[in-house]
Amino acid sequence: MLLSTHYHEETNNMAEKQIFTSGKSYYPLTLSVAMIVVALVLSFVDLAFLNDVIGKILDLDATQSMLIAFALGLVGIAVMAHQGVKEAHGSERFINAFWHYLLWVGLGLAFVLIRLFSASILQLDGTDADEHILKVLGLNIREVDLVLAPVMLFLYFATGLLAKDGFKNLFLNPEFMVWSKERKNERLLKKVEMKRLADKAAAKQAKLEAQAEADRDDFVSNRNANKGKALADNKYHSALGMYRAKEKDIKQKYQIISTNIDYVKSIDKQEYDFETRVKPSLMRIINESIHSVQNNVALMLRKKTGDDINKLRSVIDTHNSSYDELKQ
Amino acid sequence: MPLFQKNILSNQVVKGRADKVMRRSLREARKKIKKSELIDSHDLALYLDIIAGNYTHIKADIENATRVYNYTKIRADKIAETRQLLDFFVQDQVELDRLSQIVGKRAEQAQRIDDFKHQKLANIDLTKLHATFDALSRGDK
Repeated sequence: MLLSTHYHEETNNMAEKQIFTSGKSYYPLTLSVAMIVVALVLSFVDLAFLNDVIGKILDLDATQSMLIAFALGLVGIAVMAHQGVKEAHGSERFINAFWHYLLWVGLGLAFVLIRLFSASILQLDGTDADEHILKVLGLNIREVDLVLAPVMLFLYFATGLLAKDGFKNLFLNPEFMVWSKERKNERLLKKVEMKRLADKAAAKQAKLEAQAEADRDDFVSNRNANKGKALADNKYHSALGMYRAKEKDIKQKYQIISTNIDYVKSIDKQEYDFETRVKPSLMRIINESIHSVQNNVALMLRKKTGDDINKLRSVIDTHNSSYDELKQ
Repeated sequence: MPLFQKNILSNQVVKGRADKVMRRSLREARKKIKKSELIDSHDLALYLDIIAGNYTHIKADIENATRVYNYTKIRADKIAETRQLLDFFVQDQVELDRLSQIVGKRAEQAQRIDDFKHQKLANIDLTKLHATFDALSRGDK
């Protein structure tokens, strides 16, 4: 960008130097501008003579046909203006100048011939009261066109030459060149600034896109990582759940085993208690009852027979001892 | 669960039944004395056997008290059930160890070692329970 700016500055300086050192004389700025304005006005007036022909051929109203005629005139002015600028810059070449003049003269002759033979083009004949038609080489020509055509040609050449000299002197004028160069530099700077802003915007856009791409990659990788982690978590919790279920099952079995063992121990203890405490107690009740019956029977027998109670008791003792021995 | 119900073999019940037998024995002795069938020490010795015989069924009930509620069968059933559970328990312990290893591996894969360390895995020791059972089940198949 700097190189480009530098290049343009160098070019401008060279052109300026070339003009300033060429030694060519030039008109004042106002005169040059006035010549160009006069050329434009004359061109408008000149081509206005073609207005009716253009309007009739193209079937347009007056305003539109005038504008088209003026545009045609501008073409000739533009050709000569370009030639003038070339001459001002000293960059004209013969062949270029030849083509410029040829094109300009050709256009002018075409306009004049159209004007001259407008009666034939518009297919007018001598029946029209207002028109005086002459026959020249078998073609119808209005008398008025015989006058207007040379005037048009004169005006056309005048406008062309005015435009050429006007633009030539305008571009030879240092004030205009300075103004033009400033405008050019401004445009260049503006263009450079626009390019800088566009580059900046493009860089920013590229950065944003790169960031978005990176974010998207991060998102995808994170999502994949999270998916993998979620799967691993799921497997872990599933395994832990199975473990806990089996653990619960084992604890329940442990509880049942423990309860059963306690139950067996309980019934063993009850049996032991029965054998060591309850059963002797119950047997003692039975034995006391038996002894009571034995004593009462012995007393009843002594009362009836008068037997010695000690003798009867000794019989009882003997019986009981033999019974105990038998039992054991 | 009490195996020996008090309404059958409590002191009170046994005493009631003994008193009943006592009254019947005295009533029979009184009749025998009245009929002169019990008149001397010899007759008394014979009648003492009858008296002892009158109490035999009560003594038998006391002796067989532990069989009244099918104690042996209940105990054998409990021992068999417990032995089966213990066998299953050993298999379950093996399975639990296997699952524990799987949980550890999965925790490593899920990077949840810390969480896994906080999980208090069961450490159920059956040694004492087994010893107790072996002592209780001796003789039972």
